[in-house]
Amino acid sequence: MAKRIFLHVGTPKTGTSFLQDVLFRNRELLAQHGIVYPADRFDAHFLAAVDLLKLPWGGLEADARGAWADLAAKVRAAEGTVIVSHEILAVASAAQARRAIADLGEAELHLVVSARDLVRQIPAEWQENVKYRSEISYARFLTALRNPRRSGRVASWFWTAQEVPDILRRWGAAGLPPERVHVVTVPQPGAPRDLLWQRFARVLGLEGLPLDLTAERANVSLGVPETALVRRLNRATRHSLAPDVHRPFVLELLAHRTLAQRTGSPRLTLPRREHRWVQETTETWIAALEKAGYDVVGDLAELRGVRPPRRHADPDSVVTTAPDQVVDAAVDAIAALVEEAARLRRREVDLERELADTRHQLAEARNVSVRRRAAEKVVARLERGGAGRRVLGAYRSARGRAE
Amino acid sequence: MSAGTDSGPDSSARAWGWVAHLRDGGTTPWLAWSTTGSTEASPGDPLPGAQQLELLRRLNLAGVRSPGLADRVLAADATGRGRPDLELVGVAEPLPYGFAPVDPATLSDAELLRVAVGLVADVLARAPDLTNRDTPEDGGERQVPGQLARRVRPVLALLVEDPDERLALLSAAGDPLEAAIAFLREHG
Repeated sequence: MAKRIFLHVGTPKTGTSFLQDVLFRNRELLAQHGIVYPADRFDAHFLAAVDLLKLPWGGLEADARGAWADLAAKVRAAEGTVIVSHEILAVASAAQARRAIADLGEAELHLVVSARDLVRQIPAEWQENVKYRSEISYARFLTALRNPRRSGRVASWFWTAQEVPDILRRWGAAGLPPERVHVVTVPQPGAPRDLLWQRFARVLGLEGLPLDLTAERANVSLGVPETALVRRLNRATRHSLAPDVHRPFVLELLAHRTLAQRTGSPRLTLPRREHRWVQETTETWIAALEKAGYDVVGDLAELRGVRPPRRHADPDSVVTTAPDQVVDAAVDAIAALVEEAARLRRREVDLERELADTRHQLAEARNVSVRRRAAEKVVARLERGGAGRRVLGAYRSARGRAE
Repeated sequence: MSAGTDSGPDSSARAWGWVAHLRDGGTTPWLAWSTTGSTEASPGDPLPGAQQLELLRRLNLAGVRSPGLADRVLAADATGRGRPDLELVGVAEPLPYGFAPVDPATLSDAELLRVAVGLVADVLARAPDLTNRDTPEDGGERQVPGQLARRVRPVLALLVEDPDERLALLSAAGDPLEAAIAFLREHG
């Protein structure tokens, strides 16, 4: 069978973390079926993408040096079907995409893009910005997205990462047979939970494989008060938290492991007043994708999304309109931090004890060593004279030793 | 409508003519350019981005020439977050999606800096000892730790992620684009 490469280039917030987690944890089983997911750590393709795209990423870019070349070499060396997947590949320029595809070598290339409606993507992306330390308000974020220049940092990233027809254009979809360009749409709310997975499985040829689908790294969302809390925290810690502290404590512990577990709070939605321009934008995308004749897995109509609810919980004002919700979230956050502080304190005490034991053993060893050196000096001196040797002989015979 | 905004069958040839003009050290802005030119590019080769082309024009305006520099500028990636490589206004029919084509002369310094910073970083990566060396007027070479690093710091600072919503110029002193151009004049 000819070698095939499935290159999944986005978009963020379309179930990609789950997909990549399943591929990584099942890579040995996949290999037995002729499918290669070339990764020796779960974030290997993320690091490769950061390297390819020359993106600063809170210090992680230092770990990414050479990661794209490594990944490309593994892809070139692989047989059968190879899958490369990371959503930030969506932001590649046309020149970067062209070089990346050349690096992967000769094969039957398939481009894969997963797409979700803007009605859900816009609030989800603002939340991602906040999780990654942005202080921008939701209102300013929406204004930035509407600006046709798209020149700010937030707007340029959003549209580069989310505008599906443009992503496919930059990745050279026009130069591929349309049946080798796959657009996987994310089902609407209320659809069967595994429907998105079934769509990915169909495109990537994973149907029928006995894969472990236990989710370990799904990217979770926050409620409105929780996101408002993190945003305020970002403002308060702007100058005091280094990225390597923010990631484990704010992103992982607070956002992912604590605040995301609070599922009863209001969810963030697109304000209804924004729906018209979002619909207009979506229609241009659907028209472009239909015209191109790509392989659509799902339904392009799903990109229209559902009309936002009339009641919209505003994250910019929730601190004043529903302070109890924010306080509740803050209490959970404080509890989680105190528990983590206690865990770290216990660890500190254990380490202090281990350190004291080690110091004690070291001192003991030094004492033994000092006594031994003193004894050796005495023996050496005694052995230099006849009287000394006799004393030494008497001592050794008293200790029951021959010499 | 000026020449640069007339999209049509000759617009691509005109754009490649402008690329050749810039490679030769030209400084004519895109909108004032009206000559088609022969090109060594293959049909279908993508034009360099507007950011790369305008940076090359600025380097030419500043009299910065060195072997291979034009090729490196035109092939350079923009560093960090921001708009992708943009198309020249008037070359292709505008699409109903994507980033609008631009007149390169209207690009902000910050967008040109994203390309310039990558070039500076590449030079430093190839010759890390540059940050510890300076060349005095007598032509000899002596170690002056940090002297060059101080000059390029405004540029390198842009490699640091800016947590705010803006393409901020994290310049401690001086104009960062000028600093980048001065660096490329000397070492590029």
